[in-house]
Amino acid sequence: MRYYKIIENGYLVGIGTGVGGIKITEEEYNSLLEHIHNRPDAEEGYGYRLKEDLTWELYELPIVPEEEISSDELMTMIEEVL
Amino acid sequence: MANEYSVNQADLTSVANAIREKTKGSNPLAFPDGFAEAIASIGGLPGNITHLATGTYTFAGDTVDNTAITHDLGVQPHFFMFVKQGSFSANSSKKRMIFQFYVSKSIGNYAGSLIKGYFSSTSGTTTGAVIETGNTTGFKKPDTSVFYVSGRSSNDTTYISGDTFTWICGRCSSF
Repeated sequence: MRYYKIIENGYLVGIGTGVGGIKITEEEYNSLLEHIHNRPDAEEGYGYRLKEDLTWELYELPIVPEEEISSDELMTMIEEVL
Repeated sequence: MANEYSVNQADLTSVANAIREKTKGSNPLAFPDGFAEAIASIGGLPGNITHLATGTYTFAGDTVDNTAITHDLGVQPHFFMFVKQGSFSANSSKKRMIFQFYVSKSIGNYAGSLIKGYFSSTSGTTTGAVIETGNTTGFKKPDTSVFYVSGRSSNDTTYISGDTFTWICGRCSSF
C-alpha cells in the first residue's frame, strides 16, 4: 500500500493511502495518524492547524452557516437522482 | 437445407436454468423464442465500470478547503463514494466533512452540476445530506487526475481533524 501526506502553505492538511501527495513510509503514516489523533482540545470557537513541523497552531474558527435540510427534502433529492 | 442438431432435455434445461438465474424468473421458457426473449431482457448497469480508483484520507487540521485528492483515472469521474471509517473521533460533539462531486451528464435535475453534501455527527448521531447543487460557490469540480474535499469547522465547536474516510470514484462506459 502506498502512503502519502499533503502539505499546503506550510501546514500538513491530511494524510492518506493511494496515489498523489508526498509519498511516505507506513511508519511515518502511522506516526502522523497517532499525532493527529492526539490533537489538543481547543476551547469553543477555536481550532488547531497542524504545521509542517508537527506543532499545533491555535486559530479562531470561521463562522459557517448551518446548511441543514429536512429529511423530506433529502428524500426528494435522492428520488430525483435514482 | 439447414443443418439440424439434436439436444437432450437435460442440457436444454440447464441452459434455461442459467437464464432464469439471471432474470430471477421461474416460469418455463419455450425454445427458441422464449430463450431469446429472456436473454434479451437481461439488463444490467448503465454501462461497465471502465475506471475505478480508491484510497483513504484523514484530515489533519480542523478547517481545510478544496484539498486536491489524486485519483489518477485519466478521465473525469462519474461517481464518488465516501465511507467514514469507524465513529467520528471523540474530541467533539459535532463535526462535518463537506464533499462534492460533479455530474458530467444528466441525472434527474443534476445535469452538469456540482453537488455538495456533507457527513456530520452531532452528539453521536451521524447523518449525511445533499446541501447544494449547481455551480456551488468556492468549490472546484474534479478533473482527470484529482477531486477536492473540504473539511469544515466552525465556531460552534465543529472539528474534522482525525477523521478518516475511504473514498471510491470511477467512470462508466455509457453513463
